[in-house]
Amino acid sequence: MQSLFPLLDALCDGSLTADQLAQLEKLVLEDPQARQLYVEYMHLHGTLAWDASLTDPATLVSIAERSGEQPLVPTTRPRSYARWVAVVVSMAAALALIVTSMNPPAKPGVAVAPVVPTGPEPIAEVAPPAVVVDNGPIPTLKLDRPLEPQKPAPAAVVAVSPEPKPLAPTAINDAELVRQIDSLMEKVWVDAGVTPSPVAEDSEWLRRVYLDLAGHIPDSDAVNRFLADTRADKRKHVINELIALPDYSRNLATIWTNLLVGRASTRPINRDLLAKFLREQFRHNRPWTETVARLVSAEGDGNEVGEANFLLAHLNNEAVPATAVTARIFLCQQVQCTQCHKHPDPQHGGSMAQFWELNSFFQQADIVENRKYNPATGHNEVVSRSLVDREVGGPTYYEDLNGVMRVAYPKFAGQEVSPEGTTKRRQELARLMTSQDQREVAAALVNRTWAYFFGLGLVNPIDDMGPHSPSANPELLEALTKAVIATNFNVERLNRWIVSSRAYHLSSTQTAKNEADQPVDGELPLFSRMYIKPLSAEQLFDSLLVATAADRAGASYWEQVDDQRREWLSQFYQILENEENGDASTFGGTFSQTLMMMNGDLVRSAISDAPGTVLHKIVRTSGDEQDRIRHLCRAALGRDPKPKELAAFQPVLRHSNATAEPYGDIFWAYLNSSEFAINH
Amino acid sequence: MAGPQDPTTFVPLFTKAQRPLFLFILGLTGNPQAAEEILASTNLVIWSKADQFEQGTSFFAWACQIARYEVLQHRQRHRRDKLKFSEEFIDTVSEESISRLDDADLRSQALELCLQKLPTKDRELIRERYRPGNTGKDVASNLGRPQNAVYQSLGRIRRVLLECIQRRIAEG
Repeated sequence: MQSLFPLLDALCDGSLTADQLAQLEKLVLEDPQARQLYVEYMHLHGTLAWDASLTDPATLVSIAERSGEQPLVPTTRPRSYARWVAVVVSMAAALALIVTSMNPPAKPGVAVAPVVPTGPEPIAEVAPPAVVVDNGPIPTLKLDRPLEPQKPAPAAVVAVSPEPKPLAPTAINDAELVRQIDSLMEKVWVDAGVTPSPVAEDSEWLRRVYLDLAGHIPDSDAVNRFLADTRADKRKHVINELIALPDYSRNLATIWTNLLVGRASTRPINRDLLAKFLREQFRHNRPWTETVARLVSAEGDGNEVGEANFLLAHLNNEAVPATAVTARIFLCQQVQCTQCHKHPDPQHGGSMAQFWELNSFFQQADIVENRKYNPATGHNEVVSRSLVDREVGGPTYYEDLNGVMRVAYPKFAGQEVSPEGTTKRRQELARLMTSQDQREVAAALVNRTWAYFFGLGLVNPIDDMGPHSPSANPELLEALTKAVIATNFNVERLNRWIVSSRAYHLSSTQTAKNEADQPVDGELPLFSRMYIKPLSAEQLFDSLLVATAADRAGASYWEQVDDQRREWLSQFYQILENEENGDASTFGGTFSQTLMMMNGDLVRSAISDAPGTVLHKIVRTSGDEQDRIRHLCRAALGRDPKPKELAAFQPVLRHSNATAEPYGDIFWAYLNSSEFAINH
Repeated sequence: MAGPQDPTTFVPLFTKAQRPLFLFILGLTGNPQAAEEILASTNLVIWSKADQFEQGTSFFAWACQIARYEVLQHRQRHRRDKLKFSEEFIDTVSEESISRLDDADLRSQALELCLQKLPTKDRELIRERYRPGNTGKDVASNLGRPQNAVYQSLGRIRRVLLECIQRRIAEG
């Protein structure tokens, strides 16, 4: 269906070639959904043309002139059918008179055609203008779109793009791929007529890459080192250093745990164990498909098998949330609405049958509560929950929109799986989802990763990829998807490619030359500058610690901090038990966050000049006021203070007799600035 | 040949059918200028057979029959033209087209609202593109923007409009 749009556009804008015409015909003839789309699109096009002419006064005169008649209709407004009717009636009367006075068959000697508004230009009957129509590779959605049950199934669902063949593992050269990314992005910039912003300053970039790869800001030592480093490839070194840190895998684990089970801590699962599982997967750079497969087909006690906690969190409500969450997270497809509703855009959205076919893979899954006798209370209490598969088989029943009971069998990407009880459905689903030619999982990973680093995906909304969601750079998405598949879903390499690309190094400052790049206006993002992203709650917490706690030693530090962080976060998040098992948060630039930042214990202790705090250290270093302010600024914001800031702070220092307090105030100001809470 | 049995009802029916007829024909030809020509000759035939129209039956269905025939005639006359749809295409699309034109008025109203919802820049672009006499190429050069970008934008905007209309129709 994706390739239908470029054909339609070519038709409407007059550049259709004979080949394309043949393609279009084939699609329309073979696929009723394509037919419907064709008709609706052409009706839209026609209506726009028709209406435009109606309101264009000049047209009516020119038409009349062209056909050599007297202008039958006065040259102002229209849409007033009354006038038309009056004219036409008199015309009709005239015609009747004239015609009856002639012998049949009447040859229309009189031009009787009422004034017909002209449409826009013709399809060029000469060689069409050389316009590049984007017939290039567009990611195909493997999920085919079957018709509503009552219509007969088509003989063959037209494969509109060549079926992706299982790729022979081609060696991907990292440097070359980065160059490819750069040139594909440049193409979009040139086409859109924008010039990218300049490269980000060192301090700007360092803070960004730390936040993105390590999940927190750089401490002032790292800032000092980097700013003093004179090597030409220092940025590359930083990337390597960061990926080698335990902070890297911890950060990724945090992000994915949040995605998989949300932040609210009151779900009865072992969230920490899930995070640990993910951390290990990322630390050892296991292929993404392996992680996905393990999560989807996990079995066992939630307190022993980390990955089981994903589905343990979502197997309520007849596995509807599990289905929706699985599709949304790993395939970036929104299927939850199709559980009950027809997609308003049936040729793009999935059908109800598809939802239930996916859901039926989860029908065998069940949760078993493990109880142990507790002598203190005298009751058998639940100590943990296990995810198991029951040997049940058969179809899944659901009601369609007409109240008719229907059946669904486990089917994914057009592949049916035996509904026998002995078949392990979730294992089969895991296998189907992660087989080598499964582009959706690759494309979804690419889109999510891109969105993570750039603030917006190549397709937005991130988790709603499909023909109805336009892609900002289809060629780039395709190239990265292919590369991910060719490297066997190597997560680390994907991350590296992206942070080594030119676009990742651009400043976030908008220039006059890329004003057109305004995704907030609904335009497709061009990524001609780095879009500003807010810090996540975890990043904020970790960064506060980095900025303010002086003694942080090694990997164990972060583990110790995890409990503290979880407690801090729990103030903001609550579970919503609905079809999607979402989170309600009061975090995110709101009142609660502001209060926490301004008055919370964390910040208060940080500026208390207690031993072990950064403030304590800085106040006692040698150097003048300016030096100390510089240290504070580097610790908080990763950059040097601006002259305006220094000027603003002088009076604060003048008016205080205390040694540390004024610096504490200055530090507080930096920590509470909006600059601290954003990633730019 | 006499005129319509009852001009006071026939004429409004005729006038109201103009736009849907145009859209119907456009779906079969893909070319608005050709559609316009064919509409003109269809109108001629409609008037010449006006006395055959049976009051109370569907005017539009009757007119579409005539239009379809005219489309095929036009095709015959332009036999050598490479860029035309096959007869099979015309047959298949005819039916779909007629069924979709039931709510043509609704759609047109929805379109007006959806146009209002567009960002100003997009609305301007559409207005420019569909200004009578304008081709896609003209628009690009008038705005001083690369053709490709303009085509992509137009395609995107049309898609947005289509989705908006469908949503409104679905919501009733």
